[in-house]
Amino acid sequence: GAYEAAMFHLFTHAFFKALLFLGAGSVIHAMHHEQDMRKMGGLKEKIPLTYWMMVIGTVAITGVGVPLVYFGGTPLGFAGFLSKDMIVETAFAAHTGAGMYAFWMLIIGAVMTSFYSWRLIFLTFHGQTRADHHTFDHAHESPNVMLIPLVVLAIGSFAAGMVFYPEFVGKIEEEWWAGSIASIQTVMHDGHGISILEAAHHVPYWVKVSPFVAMLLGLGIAVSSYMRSPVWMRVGFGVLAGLFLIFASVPWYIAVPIGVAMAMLFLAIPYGSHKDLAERHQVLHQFLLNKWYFDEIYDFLFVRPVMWVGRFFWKRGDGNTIDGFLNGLAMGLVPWMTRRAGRLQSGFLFHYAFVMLIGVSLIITWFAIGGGH
Amino acid sequence: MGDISLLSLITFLPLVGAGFMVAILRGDDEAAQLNAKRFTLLITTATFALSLFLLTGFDPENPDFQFVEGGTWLGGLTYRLGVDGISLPFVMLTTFFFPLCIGASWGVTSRVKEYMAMFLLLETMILGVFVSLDMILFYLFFEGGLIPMFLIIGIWGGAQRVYAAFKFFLYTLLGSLLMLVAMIYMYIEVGTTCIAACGDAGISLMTHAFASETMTLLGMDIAGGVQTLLWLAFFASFAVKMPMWPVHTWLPDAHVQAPTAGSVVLAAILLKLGGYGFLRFSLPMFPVASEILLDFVLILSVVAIIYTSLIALMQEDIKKLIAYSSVAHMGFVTMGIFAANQQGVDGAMFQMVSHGFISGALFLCVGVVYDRMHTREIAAYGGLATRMPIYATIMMLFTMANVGLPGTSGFVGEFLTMVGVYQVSTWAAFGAALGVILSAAYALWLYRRVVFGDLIKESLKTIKDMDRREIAVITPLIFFTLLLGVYPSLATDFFGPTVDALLENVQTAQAAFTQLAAAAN
Repeated sequence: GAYEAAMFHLFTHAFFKALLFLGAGSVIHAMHHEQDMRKMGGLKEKIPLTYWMMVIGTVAITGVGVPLVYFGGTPLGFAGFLSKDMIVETAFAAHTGAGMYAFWMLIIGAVMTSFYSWRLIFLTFHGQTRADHHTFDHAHESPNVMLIPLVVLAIGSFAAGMVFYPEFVGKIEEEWWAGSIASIQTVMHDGHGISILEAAHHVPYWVKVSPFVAMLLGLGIAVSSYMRSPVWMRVGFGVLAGLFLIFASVPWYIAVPIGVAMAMLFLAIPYGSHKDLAERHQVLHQFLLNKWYFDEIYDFLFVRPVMWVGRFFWKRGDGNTIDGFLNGLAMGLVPWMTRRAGRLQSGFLFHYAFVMLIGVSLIITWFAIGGGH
Repeated sequence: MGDISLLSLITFLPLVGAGFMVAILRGDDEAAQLNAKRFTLLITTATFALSLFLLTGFDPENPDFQFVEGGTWLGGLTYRLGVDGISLPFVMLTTFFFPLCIGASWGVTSRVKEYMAMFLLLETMILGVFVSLDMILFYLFFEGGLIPMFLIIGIWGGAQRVYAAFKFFLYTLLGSLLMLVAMIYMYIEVGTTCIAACGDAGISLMTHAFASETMTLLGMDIAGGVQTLLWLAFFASFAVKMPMWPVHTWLPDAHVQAPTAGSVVLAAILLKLGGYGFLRFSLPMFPVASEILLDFVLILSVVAIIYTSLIALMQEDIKKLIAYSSVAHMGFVTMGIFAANQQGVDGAMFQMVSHGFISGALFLCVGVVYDRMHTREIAAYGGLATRMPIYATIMMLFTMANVGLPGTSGFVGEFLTMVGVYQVSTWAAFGAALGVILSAAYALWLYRRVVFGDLIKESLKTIKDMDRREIAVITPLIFFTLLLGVYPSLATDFFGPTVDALLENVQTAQAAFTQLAAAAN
């Protein structure tokens, strides 16, 4: 229940997610409403400001910062680094089964976030363009009315985490929240209970570095697959990961193999390997491409049955049953009876006289049988 | 001000205006048509202006009838008019709406004089229903209003207007005939047809307690006795008017075939006659029967809400969709009324007023595009936002209000009603909430298909946005929808005391009956 950390992440997330979305809008505008990344590429020189704003957003969302360094109690890094790491640390600090599950899921998620975010940058802005020549030639930077908000958000994506860290989850969080959020989770530490935010500060160093390593892993894979990257870059990311692990007091016989393994992985992934992967695993690729077919399932399970019921009520319920009954009465039964009764008005006097005679005889019979009163 | 019979003046001014216009105005050329329209606009605006005196002179804190006037008329029948916190909002709604309807009818070209005369006659009839304090007078106006409506639909309506007009007329009349029988019985039993504020006589229908012991009729045990039978008879009439499921099928046809202003009047005001009837007769005069038959009403209401919302989802005609949505909203009203608690009845009253504004506005919106394209098919539209941004905005507001978005009056009515109903039945409140979800589905889908998307149809490429007249007619509705949405106590403070007094009597009677029943067992 680290609600303060969650609110902090919501807050920073607003900056970089808005930046990424608006940046995407700027790209789409430049590419004249083309949204498919498979038809982009090479836009870095064409729309440089948008490019750098998107990079800032990506750096913020993947959580780039300086691990284990604190400046007056506040870590150093882009907005996402501060809030994400706080959540990762509190998940670990909870020391519950659910907490550990969350921790590892978060790390895996961080790898994937880093991978897809950098993939977006490389596919859109780097390399040779795959767009059609006409669109690519006409690609131009968006007007200021679209670019200025990007700059504003980029400033936020850079600074919002560091500036507001003390208020949300740092030194002055207790007075700032002033009890408006229920911070009920306590963790045992050194024999007494402390708040989960406090506990987060006491997690092992490797936990604090883990999101950063995860980010490097994702970045490395993306760099290898989607960019014609030099060998030193690929090896470099692996080495960087290893170094930070050592800095985090992870023993060398664990840190070095991890670093080396990462470097080797990056070297092993050839440029453009994603296309082969997609071809070799068609079913999985389609499944993921079509969003796990959620929309189709919902349509089948919910939308179509509800619409069927609506149509049924309309045509069979209101139409056949209610209106059918009433129309059958008003336009069927009643006119039928009227026509029948109309036959009594034959126009022949002797018919009328005969009916009167029948009526009189019935009345006499009635009174004769019933007796007097 | 006290000497002038204000209510009679307000009620009959439209009729007098109609008579004057029919007698004096000659010719059917454009000048005469314009004169007819202007004159009617003048009369309806004057009626509204007079009703403002009612508004300012009314004391909301006083739960009794005010502005009472009248006396004996024919034997035991009285001519008595008066308003209380329940009827005055409807009187104001009526006088407020008619000038807007006339404004919306500016495009009528055939038989304009007669059309305007019909509307004026209709206004008198409707106002008469809301102000009459005599039962037979109520019936007279209630049924009388059918005639101009029948003619409006049947003469100036759409392709199937004759079928729709007859359906509307016969359907409503049939239900009301049972009510007449009940009224005759009540007159015989009580000795007066006066509803309330009967002056020296002292006895009134409101204060009379109809027998509620179980009785046997034709071999059947009827719980609640005479009250139940009377309640059912009145129910037959008001349920059709409301309309309630399953006697609602006249509404889609009537709404679709009626001219725009006719639909507006039908949705905004005529539907409220049913709810008003429940509040004026069923609940106060037959409180025990109302309690016994609560589950019956709840079932019908929930079915109405969900069933008609599902149908609305599948409609291809815009007006029919909104018509079915009206039935669903009225389901909330009936639930609220018979929950017979403060939130329920206040919610039902609010919902009726709010629905008047919202569905009136929605039908006006449909009228805007119908006037241009002469079709109500959803498939004929799409992408209107590109060329009609003002229309798109206004339509969005009222679509959201229809769904019950907080900030609009639609939310207050639905929410209050649900709170009230929840206290008497959780499953009914659950069903009502389900209806809210469905209303979001059909309303937003309609809006998306008509207004959003790409404008690709050739026929729509030259469509014009709303002109000043159309905007002027709909602006007051925008104002009130938003005002009541953010400041609902303007309304609830107004009818609150009257509703409280009503419920006090109802709950006393219901409690007494429960005690008696418990003691008997």
